[in-house]
Amino acid sequence: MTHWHEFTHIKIWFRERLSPLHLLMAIILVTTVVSEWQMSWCEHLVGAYLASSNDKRPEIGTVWETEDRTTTAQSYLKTITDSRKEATRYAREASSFIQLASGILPGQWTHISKTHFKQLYLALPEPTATELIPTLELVWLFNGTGMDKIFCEGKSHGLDIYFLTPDNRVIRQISLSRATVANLDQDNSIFKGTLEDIHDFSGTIYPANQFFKATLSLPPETLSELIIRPERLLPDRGKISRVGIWQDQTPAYVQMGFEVHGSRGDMVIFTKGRNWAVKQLIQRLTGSAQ
Amino acid sequence: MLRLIKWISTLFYMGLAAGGCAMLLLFFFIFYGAEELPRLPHPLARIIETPKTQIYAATGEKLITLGKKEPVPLSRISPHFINAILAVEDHRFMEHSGLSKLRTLKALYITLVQPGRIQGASTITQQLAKNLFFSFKQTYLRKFKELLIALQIEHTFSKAEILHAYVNQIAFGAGAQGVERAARVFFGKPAADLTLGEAALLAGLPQSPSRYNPYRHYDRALKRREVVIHRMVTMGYLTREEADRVLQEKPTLAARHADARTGSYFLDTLITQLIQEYGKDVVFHGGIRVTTTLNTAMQRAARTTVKKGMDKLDVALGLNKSDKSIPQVALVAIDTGSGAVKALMGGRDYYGSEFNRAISSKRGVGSGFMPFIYYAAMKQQNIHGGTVMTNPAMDAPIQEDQTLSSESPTGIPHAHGKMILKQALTLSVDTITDQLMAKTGVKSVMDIARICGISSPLESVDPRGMAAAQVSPKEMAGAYATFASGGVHHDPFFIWRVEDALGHVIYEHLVQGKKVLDAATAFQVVDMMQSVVDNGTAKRIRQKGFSHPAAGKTGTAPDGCDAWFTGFTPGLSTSVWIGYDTPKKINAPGKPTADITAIAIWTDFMSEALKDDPARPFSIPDGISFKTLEPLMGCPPGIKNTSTFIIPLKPGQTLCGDIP
Repeated sequence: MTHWHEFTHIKIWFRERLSPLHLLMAIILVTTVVSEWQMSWCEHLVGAYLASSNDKRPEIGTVWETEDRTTTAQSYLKTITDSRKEATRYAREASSFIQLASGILPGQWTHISKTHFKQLYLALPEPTATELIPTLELVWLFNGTGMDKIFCEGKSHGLDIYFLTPDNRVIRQISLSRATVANLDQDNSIFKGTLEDIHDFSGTIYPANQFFKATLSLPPETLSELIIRPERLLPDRGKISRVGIWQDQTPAYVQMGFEVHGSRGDMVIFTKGRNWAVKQLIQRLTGSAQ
Repeated sequence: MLRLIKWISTLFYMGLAAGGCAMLLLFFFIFYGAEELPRLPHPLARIIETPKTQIYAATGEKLITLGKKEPVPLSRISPHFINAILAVEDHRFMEHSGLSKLRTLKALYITLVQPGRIQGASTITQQLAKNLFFSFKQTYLRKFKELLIALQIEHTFSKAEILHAYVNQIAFGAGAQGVERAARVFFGKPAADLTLGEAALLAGLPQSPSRYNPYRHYDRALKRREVVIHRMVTMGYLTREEADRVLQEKPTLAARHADARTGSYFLDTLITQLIQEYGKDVVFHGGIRVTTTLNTAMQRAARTTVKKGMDKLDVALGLNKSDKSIPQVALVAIDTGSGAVKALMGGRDYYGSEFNRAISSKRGVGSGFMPFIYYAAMKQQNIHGGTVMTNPAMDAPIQEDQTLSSESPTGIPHAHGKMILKQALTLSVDTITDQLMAKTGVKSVMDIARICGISSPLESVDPRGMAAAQVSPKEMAGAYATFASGGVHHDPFFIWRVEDALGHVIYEHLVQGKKVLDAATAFQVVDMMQSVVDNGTAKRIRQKGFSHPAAGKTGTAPDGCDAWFTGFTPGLSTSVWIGYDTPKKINAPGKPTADITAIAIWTDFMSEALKDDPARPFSIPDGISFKTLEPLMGCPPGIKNTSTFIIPLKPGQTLCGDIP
């Protein structure tokens, strides 16, 4: 059976196919295909469209992963160098070993100049300085060895200071433990409270009058050696009421505490005395006590 | 006829409809799928800008550059190469818009009609797109995305920019990415100086870098070059005569680069360590600058002497190149004053086997462990090199007036039944070592080995001796260095300094020794080990003319599978190991072939390494005094004695009841 829309004769089919509409469609189709083949306008069109949406697309693929890795690496390296720069800045600005130790965190390191180290060292009270490193040894390090640079490294336990030759050989190492730093801090700080609050002074607390009377009775050569840095007591913080002497000390120095009553409450100011001079003082104190 | 026309007509319309649907689908994919396409970088050259990590020797020479890309403008690339790569990869490059329709249709036809066979039709732009953004997994979706990106590249960038990016990032194999790097790797010259023959060979590689790797398959690479040259003739870049002339040429490859690997056991170790410390990204993309401990002259000496020694050993063992199982070797040289690793060979040929025996291989050290036993015993029991011991292996009674006429295999007179400690170590007498071990205790000896830097497990060691201890050559060199430096141990290290791309120091090594041994006792052991070199089991060192003060100890594993010699001068400690990877007896029957080779390699290496250094003696600790005695009884020499030992004594130590 032939359907109504099917042609029944070939002439009819040709006539239908060669109608102006069909011819126009054929020309358009052929022109489209040939022009695309020749001019690649379709590729250009797609390329242009993709270019227009480029900025909205994600940064994915090998090249971006490589760039990501570079960025990650550089960011990681920057963290390290920034950390070191920060340590260097803290170290440069440090005016005491306490500041130096607190400025260089565990894992950070930096160099400090010999001049700077000397300044920090000289700023320490004599007994503390000697405990850190004997002055004569420091003289030897600075003048008698090939010491070229000083390297400071923050550790979990505090700060390590290395004296190095030009080829990074360690000549001497000092460990500034947290306890040492705390002691340094104690040198420069004031304890809020009274002498009774500090167990180590128990049994060796003397009234200020008695202390100073005994002190001033010492020979001048002993008196001048008795208290290291007595100027620490000069600022007007209040009236000194009692003085404590810390018995259990290093062979060379004895810790002393001056209890002050002032407008800002009770406080103890720490200083140190030479052991041999303090012994003479204690003899006088106990003698006078008797 | 009518029916046929009907059919054709139906097919045509169906095709037209299908084409229309396909076009619609295509546009759908483009417009909706475009969002998932990767973003194109601007400028395209940015893809080549990766900071390079540079690794230097302690002596200043550059050892290797990692992540290196050397982009060069097209004007600095040989035109032969440009012509060759265009001819073979994409001869219509200047005409198409990212897609070669004819090639694509052909490829499509082959792919559809011949299942299993995939025909490539990628233009240079498509290859660039693939290299920049996509994995190498072949999928239709990936190909489609690659095509879209190629179209965008073509639309956005000029042909020169595309070609520049392509030739500067394409992989040529052997670790060479980019034409400049490839030219330097394969021919040791810049890309601008490539000859026609060389350029054609290079242009043939990108299709399959490993298949055509000229170092491994030179003939295959030449065949591929023929294809390139024929393409160039077809495209009119060459005349037939020129092509024939070029085909006669056989380009000479640069000798240094064999493939992408570092070519160095030292660098492998170093890079692994850097990766552990900073991660892969920093090492390969961070652009850091690393100064290592390597001394290039010593490393050269190590390479040469190891090759020479092992070639001789092959001959002595009757081996030839076709043998699958050949003995291996490791050598480590460490600066005794710092622990810096100055030379390292982890095997006889890196390209034959990358396994680093100098660090990763733990092998039986045999009597090489004796110095630790002797030190532990001498320290614990306050005995010295002149202390008399009884050797139960020799049962003849000692005569008081016996002259020293009998000779040991090493040429040293020895007593029948008794000998002094120094002689026992000189001759490597196991029975006396066993006695010392028994008296001293395994734990004490292990403690000494540990503090000297032996970190390998020793727990299972036979209490009768430490001969079963399995350690690496690096550990041995580092541990012996502790004796050389008067009892101060330095951990072996490889890196002096690491800087970022701007020169900021991010790491520097501090040389800090740890006093682990008593200097005087260590010196007494060193004195005995000097005797090993001067008169004992390693006297070949002196016979070969090495005159620097030196000390050391041979070692052969109890099962005969490992031969060692570890020795040192005051400044350099070197350990040499020889053995098979799969343990089997290393010496030729009845001959200490490998032991001799280990000593020979050590001697040749040290002679070369120290040729410009003045000889200096081992420093003598305070309080040490020297006494002369004959080796039989540990007493001062009698009139008839012609051979004597000089024994260093610590304060309070005596010989034969002498008053100190």
